[in-house]
Amino acid sequence: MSFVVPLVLVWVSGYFLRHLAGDAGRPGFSGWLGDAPEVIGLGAAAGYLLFLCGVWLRPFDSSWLAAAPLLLGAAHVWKRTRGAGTPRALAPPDPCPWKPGEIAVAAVVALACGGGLSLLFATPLFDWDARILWALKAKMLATEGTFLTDTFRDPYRLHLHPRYPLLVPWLAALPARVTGVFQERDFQAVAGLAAALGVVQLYRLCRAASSRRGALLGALLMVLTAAWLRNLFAAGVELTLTLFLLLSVQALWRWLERGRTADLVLAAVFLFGGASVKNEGLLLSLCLIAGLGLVQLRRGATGHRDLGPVFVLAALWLLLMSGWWGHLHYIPAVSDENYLGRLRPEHLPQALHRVPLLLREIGAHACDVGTWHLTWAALLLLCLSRWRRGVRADPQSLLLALVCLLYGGGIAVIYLLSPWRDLAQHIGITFDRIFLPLLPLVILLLLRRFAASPGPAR
Amino acid sequence: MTAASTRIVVTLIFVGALAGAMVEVSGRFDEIGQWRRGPAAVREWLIYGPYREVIVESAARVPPSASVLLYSDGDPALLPYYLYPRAFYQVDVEPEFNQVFMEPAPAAYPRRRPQSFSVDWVLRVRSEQGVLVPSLLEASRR
Repeated sequence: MSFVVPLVLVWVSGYFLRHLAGDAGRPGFSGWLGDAPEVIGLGAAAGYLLFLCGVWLRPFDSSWLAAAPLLLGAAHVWKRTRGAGTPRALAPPDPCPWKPGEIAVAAVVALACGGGLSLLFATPLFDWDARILWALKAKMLATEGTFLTDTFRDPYRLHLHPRYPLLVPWLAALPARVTGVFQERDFQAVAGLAAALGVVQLYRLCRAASSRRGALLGALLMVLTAAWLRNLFAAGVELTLTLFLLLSVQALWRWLERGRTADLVLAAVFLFGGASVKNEGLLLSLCLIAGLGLVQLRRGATGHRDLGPVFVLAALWLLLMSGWWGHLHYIPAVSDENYLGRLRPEHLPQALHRVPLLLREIGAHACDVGTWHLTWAALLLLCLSRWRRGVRADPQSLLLALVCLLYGGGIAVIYLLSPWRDLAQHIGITFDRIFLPLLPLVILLLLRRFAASPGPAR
Repeated sequence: MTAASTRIVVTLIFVGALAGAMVEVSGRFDEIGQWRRGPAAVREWLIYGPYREVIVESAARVPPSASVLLYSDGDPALLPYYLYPRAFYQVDVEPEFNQVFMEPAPAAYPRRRPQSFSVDWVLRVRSEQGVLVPSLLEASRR
Protein backbone atom coordinates (compact mmCIF):
# COMPACT_ATOMS: atom_id res chain seq x y z
CA MET A 1 0.00 0.00 0.00
CA SER A 2 2.97 2.32 0.56
CA PHE A 3 3.23 2.51 -3.20
CA VAL A 4 -0.21 4.08 -3.70
CA VAL A 5 0.59 7.70 -2.72
CA PRO A 6 3.66 8.06 -4.98
CA LEU A 7 1.81 6.28 -7.80
CA VAL A 8 -1.12 8.71 -7.60
CA LEU A 9 1.25 11.70 -7.58
CA VAL A 10 3.19 10.34 -10.55
CA TRP A 11 -0.08 9.69 -12.34
CA VAL A 12 -1.38 13.22 -11.71
CA SER A 13 1.93 14.71 -12.94
CA GLY A 14 1.71 12.65 -16.11
CA TYR A 15 -1.92 13.61 -16.60
CA PHE A 16 -1.15 17.34 -16.46
CA LEU A 17 1.93 16.96 -18.64
CA ARG A 18 -0.04 15.11 -21.27
CA HIS A 19 -2.67 17.82 -21.30
CA LEU A 20 0.03 20.45 -21.60
CA ALA A 21 1.32 18.57 -24.64
CA GLY A 22 -2.12 18.96 -26.17
CA ASP A 23 -3.54 15.45 -25.79
CA ALA A 24 -6.65 14.84 -23.71
CA GLY A 25 -7.25 11.33 -22.41
CA ARG A 26 -9.45 8.79 -24.11
CA PRO A 27 -12.94 8.21 -22.74
CA GLY A 28 -14.03 5.17 -20.73
CA PHE A 29 -12.24 2.56 -18.66
CA SER A 30 -10.43 1.06 -21.65
CA GLY A 31 -9.19 4.54 -22.59
CA TRP A 32 -8.02 5.13 -19.03
CA LEU A 33 -6.24 1.77 -18.97
CA GLY A 34 -4.72 2.28 -22.42
CA ASP A 35 -3.41 5.72 -21.47
CA ALA A 36 -1.90 4.50 -18.20
CA PRO A 37 1.58 3.63 -19.61
CA GLU A 38 1.94 7.03 -21.25
CA VAL A 39 0.62 8.99 -18.28
CA ILE A 40 2.72 7.13 -15.71
CA GLY A 41 5.80 7.18 -17.95
CA LEU A 42 5.50 10.94 -18.37
CA GLY A 43 4.91 11.48 -14.65
CA ALA A 44 7.90 9.33 -13.70
CA ALA A 45 10.26 11.04 -16.15
CA ALA A 46 9.08 14.53 -15.11
CA GLY A 47 9.36 13.76 -11.39
CA TYR A 48 12.86 12.34 -11.85
CA LEU A 49 13.93 15.40 -13.83
CA LEU A 50 12.65 17.61 -11.03
CA PHE A 51 14.59 15.50 -8.54
CA LEU A 52 17.82 15.88 -10.57
CA CYS A 53 17.38 19.64 -10.75
CA GLY A 54 16.14 20.13 -7.20
CA VAL A 55 18.60 17.87 -5.40
CA TRP A 56 21.20 20.66 -5.57
CA LEU A 57 18.95 22.73 -3.30
CA ARG A 58 18.01 20.18 -0.66
CA PRO A 59 17.75 16.42 -0.20
CA PHE A 60 14.70 14.72 -1.53
CA ASP A 61 11.94 14.34 1.03
CA SER A 62 8.22 13.74 1.08
CA SER A 63 7.45 17.41 0.37
CA TRP A 64 9.18 17.04 -2.98
CA LEU A 65 6.67 14.37 -3.92
CA ALA A 66 3.93 16.92 -4.32
CA ALA A 67 6.08 19.44 -6.21
CA ALA A 68 5.77 17.97 -9.71
CA PRO A 69 1.96 17.64 -9.73
CA LEU A 70 1.56 21.09 -8.18
CA LEU A 71 3.88 22.79 -10.68
CA LEU A 72 2.39 20.99 -13.66
CA GLY A 73 -1.16 21.53 -12.40
CA ALA A 74 -0.48 25.25 -12.06
CA ALA A 75 0.94 25.35 -15.60
CA HIS A 76 -2.14 23.50 -16.83
CA VAL A 77 -4.53 25.96 -15.19
CA TRP A 78 -2.48 28.90 -16.47
CA LYS A 79 -2.63 27.52 -20.00
CA ARG A 80 -6.39 26.96 -19.80
CA THR A 81 -7.13 30.42 -18.39
CA ARG A 82 -5.10 32.01 -21.17
CA GLY A 83 -7.18 30.04 -23.64
CA ALA A 84 -4.02 28.62 -25.18
CA GLY A 85 -5.81 25.77 -26.91
CA THR A 86 -8.00 22.99 -25.62
CA PRO A 87 -6.38 19.54 -25.50
CA ARG A 88 -7.38 17.44 -28.46
CA ALA A 89 -9.68 14.58 -27.47
CA LEU A 90 -8.45 11.31 -28.98
CA ALA A 91 -10.79 8.82 -30.58
CA PRO A 92 -12.22 6.07 -28.35
CA PRO A 93 -9.51 3.41 -28.07
CA ASP A 94 -11.29 0.55 -29.74
CA PRO A 95 -14.87 1.03 -30.90
CA CYS A 96 -15.40 -2.50 -32.34
CA PRO A 97 -17.31 -4.92 -30.08
CA TRP A 98 -15.27 -7.73 -28.58
CA LYS A 99 -15.81 -11.28 -29.89
CA PRO A 100 -15.81 -14.26 -27.50
CA GLY A 101 -12.52 -15.55 -28.90
CA GLU A 102 -10.85 -12.17 -28.33
CA ILE A 103 -12.17 -12.00 -24.77
CA ALA A 104 -10.71 -15.47 -24.17
CA VAL A 105 -7.26 -14.46 -25.49
CA ALA A 106 -7.40 -11.21 -23.46
CA ALA A 107 -8.23 -13.27 -20.36
CA VAL A 108 -5.23 -15.54 -21.04
CA VAL A 109 -2.94 -12.48 -21.41
CA ALA A 110 -4.29 -10.98 -18.16
CA LEU A 111 -3.97 -14.32 -16.39
CA ALA A 112 -0.40 -14.89 -17.62
CA CYS A 113 0.60 -11.35 -16.66
CA GLY A 114 -1.13 -11.52 -13.27
CA GLY A 115 0.37 -14.95 -12.58
CA GLY A 116 3.84 -13.65 -13.45
CA LEU A 117 3.37 -10.72 -11.07
CA SER A 118 2.24 -12.96 -8.22
CA LEU A 119 5.32 -15.15 -8.73
CA LEU A 120 7.50 -12.03 -8.64
CA PHE A 121 6.25 -11.09 -5.17
CA ALA A 122 6.38 -14.65 -3.77
CA THR A 123 10.02 -14.35 -2.61
CA PRO A 124 12.47 -11.61 -1.64
CA LEU A 125 14.94 -10.39 -4.23
CA PHE A 126 17.35 -13.15 -5.23
CA ASP A 127 18.79 -11.65 -8.39
CA TRP A 128 22.38 -10.48 -8.02
CA ASP A 129 22.24 -7.35 -10.20
CA ALA A 130 18.85 -6.30 -8.86
CA ARG A 131 20.28 -6.27 -5.36
CA ILE A 132 23.86 -5.03 -5.71
CA LEU A 133 23.25 -2.45 -8.42
CA TRP A 134 19.70 -1.17 -8.24
CA ALA A 135 18.01 -2.01 -4.94
CA LEU A 136 21.15 -0.90 -3.07
CA LYS A 137 20.95 2.51 -4.73
CA ALA A 138 17.23 2.65 -3.93
CA LYS A 139 18.04 1.90 -0.30
CA MET A 140 20.67 4.66 -0.26
CA LEU A 141 18.36 7.21 -1.86
CA ALA A 142 15.53 6.19 0.47
CA THR A 143 17.75 6.73 3.50
CA GLU A 144 19.83 9.74 2.46
CA GLY A 145 17.42 11.43 0.05
CA THR A 146 20.26 12.45 -2.25
CA PHE A 147 23.22 11.15 -4.17
CA LEU A 148 25.36 14.22 -3.41
CA THR A 149 27.01 12.39 -0.52
CA ASP A 150 30.16 10.32 0.05
CA THR A 151 28.06 7.22 -0.49
CA PHE A 152 28.16 7.99 -4.20
CA ARG A 153 31.13 10.33 -4.43
CA ASP A 154 33.89 8.73 -2.37
CA PRO A 155 35.86 6.55 -4.82
CA TYR A 156 37.13 4.29 -2.03
CA ARG A 157 33.64 3.46 -0.82
CA LEU A 158 32.58 -0.06 -1.85
CA HIS A 159 29.64 0.78 -4.06
CA LEU A 160 29.42 -0.82 -7.46
CA HIS A 161 28.76 1.40 -10.44
CA PRO A 162 27.83 4.68 -8.75
CA ARG A 163 27.56 6.31 -12.19
CA TYR A 164 24.62 4.17 -13.28
CA PRO A 165 21.44 6.25 -13.83
CA LEU A 166 18.98 6.41 -10.97
CA LEU A 167 15.42 6.55 -12.29
CA VAL A 168 14.41 3.08 -11.06
CA PRO A 169 16.12 3.44 -7.64
CA TRP A 170 14.47 6.85 -7.30
CA LEU A 171 11.04 5.39 -8.09
CA ALA A 172 11.61 2.51 -5.66
CA ALA A 173 12.71 4.97 -2.97
CA LEU A 174 9.55 7.09 -3.25
CA PRO A 175 7.40 4.93 -0.93
CA ALA A 176 10.16 4.94 1.67
CA ARG A 177 10.23 8.74 1.63
CA VAL A 178 6.55 8.56 2.65
CA THR A 179 6.69 5.69 5.14
CA GLY A 180 10.27 6.05 6.34
CA VAL A 181 11.14 2.40 5.70
CA PHE A 182 12.67 0.92 2.55
CA GLN A 183 11.17 -2.42 1.58
CA GLU A 184 12.31 -4.76 -1.17
CA ARG A 185 8.68 -5.07 -2.22
CA ASP A 186 8.71 -1.44 -3.34
CA PHE A 187 11.57 -2.25 -5.68
CA GLN A 188 9.72 -5.32 -6.96
CA ALA A 189 6.59 -3.20 -7.40
CA VAL A 190 8.41 -0.89 -9.82
CA ALA A 191 9.41 -3.88 -11.95
CA GLY A 192 5.92 -5.37 -11.75
CA LEU A 193 4.23 -2.12 -12.68
CA ALA A 194 6.63 -1.56 -15.58
CA ALA A 195 6.00 -5.11 -16.81
CA ALA A 196 2.22 -4.72 -16.74
CA LEU A 197 2.32 -1.27 -18.35
CA GLY A 198 4.73 -2.58 -20.99
CA VAL A 199 2.25 -5.29 -21.97
CA VAL A 200 -0.59 -2.73 -22.20
CA GLN A 201 1.61 -0.42 -24.26
CA LEU A 202 2.67 -3.21 -26.61
CA TYR A 203 -0.99 -4.13 -27.08
CA ARG A 204 -1.82 -0.53 -27.94
CA LEU A 205 0.96 -0.29 -30.51
CA CYS A 206 0.08 -3.69 -31.98
CA ARG A 207 -3.58 -2.71 -32.12
CA ALA A 208 -2.73 0.34 -34.16
CA ALA A 209 -0.92 -1.89 -36.62
CA SER A 210 -3.17 -4.93 -36.84
CA SER A 211 -6.45 -6.55 -35.85
CA ARG A 212 -7.41 -6.91 -32.21
CA ARG A 213 -6.71 -10.63 -32.36
CA GLY A 214 -3.25 -9.96 -33.78
CA ALA A 215 -2.58 -7.37 -31.07
CA LEU A 216 -3.67 -9.73 -28.32
CA LEU A 217 -1.48 -12.49 -29.74
CA GLY A 218 1.45 -10.04 -29.84
CA ALA A 219 0.96 -9.18 -26.16
CA LEU A 220 0.53 -12.86 -25.31
CA LEU A 221 3.75 -13.74 -27.11
CA MET A 222 5.65 -11.24 -25.00
CA VAL A 223 4.32 -12.51 -21.67
CA LEU A 224 5.07 -16.10 -22.70
CA THR A 225 8.65 -15.40 -23.72
CA ALA A 226 10.96 -17.01 -21.17
CA ALA A 227 13.43 -14.10 -21.31
CA TRP A 228 10.66 -11.67 -20.31
CA LEU A 229 9.42 -13.96 -17.51
CA ARG A 230 12.95 -14.47 -16.20
CA ASN A 231 13.47 -10.72 -16.08
CA LEU A 232 10.15 -10.23 -14.34
CA PHE A 233 10.95 -12.80 -11.64
CA ALA A 234 14.32 -11.11 -11.14
CA ALA A 235 12.65 -7.64 -10.87
CA GLY A 236 14.94 -6.50 -13.70
CA VAL A 237 15.18 -2.82 -14.61
CA GLU A 238 15.08 -3.86 -18.26
CA LEU A 239 11.27 -4.01 -17.99
CA THR A 240 11.22 -0.28 -17.24
CA LEU A 241 13.60 0.36 -20.12
CA THR A 242 11.31 -1.66 -22.40
CA LEU A 243 8.33 0.45 -21.34
CA PHE A 244 10.12 3.72 -22.11
CA LEU A 245 11.34 2.35 -25.43
CA LEU A 246 7.77 1.48 -26.44
CA LEU A 247 6.54 4.91 -25.34
CA SER A 248 9.30 6.57 -27.38
CA VAL A 249 8.38 4.47 -30.41
CA GLN A 250 4.73 5.49 -30.04
CA ALA A 251 5.59 9.20 -29.85
CA LEU A 252 7.87 8.95 -32.89
CA TRP A 253 5.27 6.99 -34.88
CA ARG A 254 2.73 9.70 -34.08
CA TRP A 255 5.18 12.33 -35.21
CA LEU A 256 5.78 10.46 -38.47
CA GLU A 257 2.01 10.44 -39.01
CA ARG A 258 1.01 13.89 -37.82
CA GLY A 259 4.21 15.93 -37.82
CA ARG A 260 3.18 17.65 -34.55
CA THR A 261 6.04 19.22 -32.56
CA ALA A 262 4.43 18.21 -29.24
CA ASP A 263 5.00 14.55 -30.20
CA LEU A 264 8.71 15.25 -30.64
CA VAL A 265 8.78 16.81 -27.17
CA LEU A 266 7.04 13.76 -25.71
CA ALA A 267 9.49 11.49 -27.57
CA ALA A 268 12.40 13.43 -26.05
CA VAL A 269 10.93 13.00 -22.55
CA PHE A 270 10.49 9.25 -23.06
CA LEU A 271 13.99 8.91 -24.52
CA PHE A 272 15.28 10.72 -21.45
CA GLY A 273 13.29 8.30 -19.28
CA GLY A 274 14.82 5.30 -21.06
CA ALA A 275 18.37 6.66 -20.81
CA SER A 276 17.74 7.31 -17.10
CA VAL A 277 16.92 3.66 -16.47
CA LYS A 278 20.25 2.15 -17.51
CA ASN A 279 23.09 2.84 -19.90
CA GLU A 280 21.65 0.60 -22.61
CA GLY A 281 18.85 3.18 -22.71
CA LEU A 282 21.45 5.74 -23.71
CA LEU A 283 22.43 3.60 -26.68
CA LEU A 284 18.78 2.92 -27.53
CA SER A 285 18.02 6.65 -27.46
CA LEU A 286 20.90 7.34 -29.84
CA CYS A 287 19.69 4.51 -32.10
CA LEU A 288 16.15 5.91 -32.16
CA ILE A 289 17.37 9.40 -33.00
CA ALA A 290 19.75 8.08 -35.67
CA GLY A 291 17.01 5.76 -36.95
CA LEU A 292 14.60 8.67 -37.26
CA GLY A 293 17.26 10.61 -39.16
CA LEU A 294 17.71 7.74 -41.62
CA VAL A 295 13.94 7.39 -42.01
CA GLN A 296 13.72 11.09 -42.80
CA LEU A 297 16.47 10.76 -45.39
CA ARG A 298 14.60 7.84 -46.90
CA ARG A 299 11.37 9.84 -46.94
CA GLY A 300 13.18 12.47 -48.99
CA ALA A 301 12.10 10.56 -52.09
CA THR A 302 8.47 11.38 -51.25
CA GLY A 303 9.04 15.04 -50.43
CA HIS A 304 9.24 14.71 -46.61
CA ARG A 305 13.00 15.01 -46.37
CA ASP A 306 13.64 17.30 -43.46
CA LEU A 307 16.30 16.67 -40.86
CA GLY A 308 15.40 19.76 -38.83
CA PRO A 309 12.96 17.94 -36.50
CA VAL A 310 15.55 15.23 -35.88
CA PHE A 311 18.03 17.85 -34.70
CA VAL A 312 15.31 19.40 -32.54
CA LEU A 313 14.64 15.98 -30.98
CA ALA A 314 18.36 15.41 -30.39
CA ALA A 315 18.77 18.88 -28.86
CA LEU A 316 15.78 18.40 -26.52
CA TRP A 317 17.06 15.01 -25.43
CA LEU A 318 20.57 16.38 -24.81
CA LEU A 319 19.07 19.23 -22.80
CA LEU A 320 17.10 16.83 -20.60
CA MET A 321 20.09 14.51 -20.19
CA SER A 322 22.41 17.36 -19.24
CA GLY A 323 20.81 17.42 -15.78
CA TRP A 324 22.24 13.96 -15.04
CA TRP A 325 25.50 14.46 -16.92
CA GLY A 326 26.17 17.55 -14.83
CA HIS A 327 25.98 15.41 -11.72
CA LEU A 328 28.23 12.73 -13.25
CA HIS A 329 31.09 15.20 -13.20
CA TYR A 330 31.20 14.75 -9.41
CA ILE A 331 30.79 10.98 -9.31
CA PRO A 332 34.04 9.02 -9.82
CA ALA A 333 34.42 6.43 -12.57
CA VAL A 334 35.58 3.54 -10.43
CA SER A 335 34.86 0.46 -12.44
CA ASP A 336 36.76 -1.62 -14.94
CA GLU A 337 33.45 -1.86 -16.74
CA ASN A 338 33.77 1.77 -17.71
CA TYR A 339 32.88 1.05 -21.34
CA LEU A 340 32.51 4.66 -22.35
CA GLY A 341 36.08 5.25 -21.22
CA ARG A 342 37.21 2.40 -23.47
CA LEU A 343 35.19 3.30 -26.53
CA ARG A 344 38.08 4.64 -28.53
CA PRO A 345 38.53 3.82 -32.21
CA GLU A 346 42.17 2.81 -31.68
CA HIS A 347 41.10 -0.04 -29.39
CA LEU A 348 38.87 -1.66 -32.00
CA PRO A 349 41.60 -3.15 -34.26
CA GLN A 350 43.12 -4.92 -31.22
CA ALA A 351 39.72 -6.43 -30.47
CA LEU A 352 38.95 -7.72 -33.96
CA HIS A 353 40.34 -11.18 -33.19
CA ARG A 354 37.30 -11.62 -30.94
CA VAL A 355 34.82 -11.32 -33.84
CA PRO A 356 34.49 -15.07 -34.59
CA LEU A 357 33.92 -15.84 -30.91
CA LEU A 358 31.47 -12.96 -30.64
CA LEU A 359 29.43 -14.13 -33.62
CA ARG A 360 29.44 -17.73 -32.38
CA GLU A 361 28.28 -16.77 -28.89
CA ILE A 362 25.64 -14.28 -30.01
CA GLY A 363 24.36 -16.83 -32.53
CA ALA A 364 24.17 -19.52 -29.87
CA HIS A 365 22.17 -17.32 -27.50
CA ALA A 366 19.93 -15.93 -30.22
CA CYS A 367 19.07 -19.49 -31.29
CA ASP A 368 18.18 -20.55 -27.75
CA VAL A 369 14.56 -21.49 -28.52
CA GLY A 370 13.75 -22.09 -24.86
CA THR A 371 14.55 -18.48 -23.99
CA TRP A 372 13.70 -16.57 -27.15
CA HIS A 373 11.58 -19.02 -29.20
CA LEU A 374 12.03 -17.77 -32.81
CA THR A 375 12.35 -14.02 -32.11
CA TRP A 376 15.71 -13.41 -33.71
CA ALA A 377 15.30 -15.90 -36.54
CA ALA A 378 12.00 -14.19 -37.43
CA LEU A 379 13.67 -10.76 -37.39
CA LEU A 380 16.46 -11.98 -39.64
CA LEU A 381 14.04 -13.66 -42.06
CA LEU A 382 11.81 -10.59 -42.14
CA CYS A 383 14.68 -8.27 -42.95
CA LEU A 384 16.07 -10.59 -45.60
CA SER A 385 12.78 -11.41 -47.29
CA ARG A 386 10.81 -8.18 -47.03
CA TRP A 387 13.33 -5.40 -46.67
CA ARG A 388 12.74 -3.69 -49.99
CA ARG A 389 8.97 -3.83 -50.35
CA GLY A 390 7.81 -4.48 -46.82
CA VAL A 391 10.14 -2.77 -44.37
CA ARG A 392 11.83 0.00 -46.32
CA ALA A 393 8.59 1.29 -47.85
CA ASP A 394 6.89 1.80 -44.47
CA PRO A 395 8.57 4.53 -42.35
CA GLN A 396 7.30 3.11 -39.05
CA SER A 397 8.55 -0.42 -39.80
CA LEU A 398 11.79 1.01 -41.12
CA LEU A 399 12.30 2.88 -37.84
CA LEU A 400 11.82 -0.33 -35.82
CA ALA A 401 14.14 -2.36 -38.06
CA LEU A 402 16.83 0.33 -37.97
CA VAL A 403 16.69 0.55 -34.18
CA CYS A 404 17.11 -3.24 -33.93
CA LEU A 405 20.04 -3.25 -36.35
CA LEU A 406 21.80 -0.18 -34.93
CA TYR A 407 21.38 -1.34 -31.34
CA GLY A 408 22.59 -4.86 -32.19
CA GLY A 409 25.64 -3.36 -33.91
CA GLY A 410 26.33 -1.02 -31.00
CA ILE A 411 26.15 -3.84 -28.49
CA ALA A 412 28.47 -5.96 -30.66
CA VAL A 413 31.08 -3.17 -30.54
CA ILE A 414 30.72 -2.90 -26.77
CA TYR A 415 31.16 -6.67 -26.42
CA LEU A 416 34.30 -6.44 -28.57
CA LEU A 417 35.71 -3.86 -26.19
CA SER A 418 34.61 -5.80 -23.13
CA PRO A 419 37.28 -5.96 -20.42
CA TRP A 420 36.12 -9.45 -19.43
CA ARG A 421 38.83 -12.02 -19.99
CA ASP A 422 36.21 -14.61 -20.94
CA LEU A 423 33.97 -12.96 -23.55
CA ALA A 424 31.71 -16.02 -23.74
CA GLN A 425 31.02 -15.72 -20.02
CA HIS A 426 30.24 -12.02 -20.36
CA ILE A 427 27.81 -12.60 -23.24
CA GLY A 428 26.23 -15.53 -21.41
CA ILE A 429 25.52 -13.40 -18.35
CA THR A 430 24.24 -10.31 -20.15
CA PHE A 431 22.70 -11.31 -23.49
CA ASP A 432 19.14 -11.88 -22.27
CA ARG A 433 19.03 -8.65 -20.30
CA ILE A 434 20.59 -6.51 -22.98
CA PHE A 435 18.42 -7.71 -25.82
CA LEU A 436 15.11 -7.94 -23.95
CA PRO A 437 13.98 -4.39 -24.91
CA LEU A 438 14.14 -5.39 -28.59
CA LEU A 439 11.64 -8.24 -28.10
CA PRO A 440 8.48 -6.08 -28.35
CA LEU A 441 9.96 -4.23 -31.34
CA VAL A 442 10.41 -7.52 -33.19
CA ILE A 443 6.84 -8.53 -32.30
CA LEU A 444 5.60 -5.18 -33.61
CA LEU A 445 7.60 -5.54 -36.80
CA LEU A 446 6.22 -9.00 -37.43
CA LEU A 447 2.67 -7.82 -36.82
CA ARG A 448 3.04 -4.81 -39.09
CA ARG A 449 4.36 -6.95 -41.87
CA PHE A 450 2.29 -10.12 -41.58
CA ALA A 451 -0.97 -9.16 -39.87
CA ALA A 452 -1.48 -5.63 -41.10
CA SER A 453 -5.06 -4.43 -41.13
CA PRO A 454 -6.54 -1.05 -40.25
CA GLY A 455 -6.52 -0.30 -36.52
CA PRO A 456 -7.96 2.62 -34.56
CA ALA A 457 -6.16 5.94 -34.20
CA ARG A 458 -3.23 5.95 -31.78
CA MET B 1 4.01 -16.03 -47.54
CA THR B 2 0.59 -17.66 -47.78
CA ALA B 3 -2.01 -17.63 -44.98
CA ALA B 4 -1.43 -21.33 -44.30
CA SER B 5 2.34 -20.98 -43.96
CA THR B 6 1.90 -17.89 -41.76
CA ARG B 7 -0.33 -19.93 -39.46
CA ILE B 8 2.26 -22.69 -39.27
CA VAL B 9 5.03 -20.21 -38.39
CA VAL B 10 2.83 -18.49 -35.77
CA THR B 11 1.91 -21.86 -34.25
CA LEU B 12 5.58 -22.87 -34.10
CA ILE B 13 6.49 -19.58 -32.42
CA PHE B 14 3.76 -19.99 -29.81
CA VAL B 15 4.59 -23.63 -29.12
CA GLY B 16 8.23 -22.66 -28.56
CA ALA B 17 7.21 -19.72 -26.34
CA LEU B 18 4.80 -21.83 -24.30
CA ALA B 19 7.39 -24.55 -23.73
CA GLY B 20 9.99 -21.99 -22.65
CA ALA B 21 7.48 -20.28 -20.36
CA MET B 22 6.56 -23.57 -18.69
CA VAL B 23 10.21 -24.36 -17.98
CA GLU B 24 10.75 -20.87 -16.56
CA VAL B 25 7.63 -20.94 -14.39
CA SER B 26 8.42 -24.42 -13.13
CA GLY B 27 11.91 -23.27 -12.11
CA ARG B 28 10.37 -20.34 -10.29
CA PHE B 29 7.93 -22.63 -8.48
CA ASP B 30 10.89 -24.74 -7.29
CA GLU B 31 12.57 -21.59 -5.97
CA ILE B 32 9.40 -20.46 -4.20
CA GLY B 33 8.94 -23.96 -2.72
CA GLN B 34 12.46 -23.88 -1.29
CA TRP B 35 11.85 -20.42 0.12
CA ARG B 36 8.48 -21.25 1.66
CA ARG B 37 9.09 -24.77 2.95
CA GLY B 38 12.85 -25.00 3.32
CA PRO B 39 14.58 -24.97 6.70
CA ALA B 40 16.16 -21.75 7.97
CA ALA B 41 19.58 -22.72 6.62
CA VAL B 42 18.22 -23.13 3.09
CA ARG B 43 16.37 -19.82 3.28
CA GLU B 44 19.49 -18.06 4.47
CA TRP B 45 21.51 -19.65 1.68
CA LEU B 46 18.94 -18.44 -0.86
CA ILE B 47 19.38 -14.85 0.30
CA TYR B 48 22.98 -14.62 1.44
CA GLY B 49 24.65 -17.53 -0.38
CA PRO B 50 28.29 -17.94 0.66
CA TYR B 51 28.19 -14.53 2.38
CA ARG B 52 25.99 -15.75 5.23
CA GLU B 53 28.69 -15.90 7.88
CA VAL B 54 30.17 -12.52 6.95
CA ILE B 55 26.79 -10.77 6.89
CA VAL B 56 25.44 -12.32 10.08
CA GLU B 57 28.61 -11.67 12.08
CA SER B 58 29.08 -8.12 10.76
CA ALA B 59 25.42 -7.25 11.37
CA ALA B 60 25.69 -8.51 14.93
CA ARG B 61 28.96 -6.82 15.87
CA VAL B 62 29.29 -3.68 13.74
CA PRO B 63 26.84 -0.88 14.64
CA PRO B 64 24.88 0.57 11.69
CA SER B 65 26.61 3.94 11.91
CA ALA B 66 30.12 2.42 11.83
CA SER B 67 32.60 2.34 8.97
CA VAL B 68 34.58 -0.71 7.87
CA LEU B 69 37.81 -1.15 5.93
CA LEU B 70 37.38 -4.28 3.86
CA TYR B 71 39.92 -6.72 2.40
CA SER B 72 38.40 -9.57 0.44
CA ASP B 73 39.57 -12.32 -1.90
CA GLY B 74 35.95 -13.07 -2.85
CA ASP B 75 33.48 -10.78 -4.56
CA PRO B 76 32.21 -8.54 -1.74
CA ALA B 77 29.47 -6.86 -3.78
CA LEU B 78 26.57 -8.21 -1.73
CA LEU B 79 27.84 -6.88 1.61
CA PRO B 80 26.80 -3.23 1.21
CA TYR B 81 23.27 -4.27 0.28
CA TYR B 82 22.57 -6.23 3.45
CA LEU B 83 24.80 -4.23 5.77
CA TYR B 84 23.88 -0.69 4.70
CA PRO B 85 24.12 1.94 6.25
CA ARG B 86 27.48 0.61 7.45
CA ALA B 87 30.06 2.24 5.16
CA PHE B 88 32.56 -0.16 3.54
CA TYR B 89 35.85 1.11 2.18
CA GLN B 90 38.64 -0.55 0.21
CA VAL B 91 42.20 0.54 -0.34
CA ASP B 92 41.76 -0.06 -4.08
CA VAL B 93 39.24 1.94 -6.04
CA GLU B 94 38.59 -1.12 -8.16
CA PRO B 95 37.32 -4.10 -6.15
CA GLU B 96 40.20 -6.55 -6.00
CA PHE B 97 37.97 -9.39 -7.06
CA ASN B 98 37.35 -7.84 -10.49
CA GLN B 99 40.94 -8.65 -11.42
CA VAL B 100 40.01 -12.33 -11.38
CA PHE B 101 37.81 -12.06 -14.45
CA MET B 102 38.60 -8.71 -16.02
CA GLU B 103 41.51 -7.12 -17.82
CA PRO B 104 43.14 -4.34 -15.83
CA ALA B 105 41.87 -0.82 -16.52
CA PRO B 106 43.77 1.19 -19.18
CA ALA B 107 45.12 3.49 -16.49
CA ALA B 108 45.85 2.15 -13.02
CA TYR B 109 43.38 3.27 -10.39
CA PRO B 110 44.70 5.05 -7.32
CA ARG B 111 45.35 3.20 -4.08
CA ARG B 112 45.24 4.60 -0.56
CA ARG B 113 47.34 3.63 2.41
CA PRO B 114 45.30 1.60 4.92
CA GLN B 115 46.41 3.93 7.72
CA SER B 116 44.82 6.90 5.99
CA PHE B 117 41.31 5.55 6.51
CA SER B 118 39.51 6.72 9.60
CA VAL B 119 37.38 3.63 10.12
CA ASP B 120 35.90 1.85 13.14
CA TRP B 121 36.40 -1.76 12.00
CA VAL B 122 38.63 -3.82 9.73
CA LEU B 123 37.06 -6.81 8.01
CA ARG B 124 39.15 -9.45 6.25
CA VAL B 125 37.22 -11.95 4.18
CA ARG B 126 38.83 -15.05 2.74
CA SER B 127 37.31 -17.65 0.53
CA GLU B 128 37.43 -21.24 1.85
CA GLN B 129 35.85 -23.97 -0.24
CA GLY B 130 33.33 -21.60 -1.76
CA VAL B 131 32.31 -20.03 1.56
CA LEU B 132 33.47 -16.60 2.67
CA VAL B 133 34.93 -16.57 6.16
CA PRO B 134 35.15 -13.26 8.06
CA SER B 135 37.82 -12.01 10.39
CA LEU B 136 36.53 -8.88 12.08
CA LEU B 137 38.67 -6.56 14.20
CA GLU B 138 38.04 -3.19 15.79
CA ALA B 139 40.26 -0.68 14.02
CA SER B 140 41.84 0.46 17.26
CA ARG B 141 43.29 -3.05 17.73
CA ARG B 142 44.73 -3.55 14.27
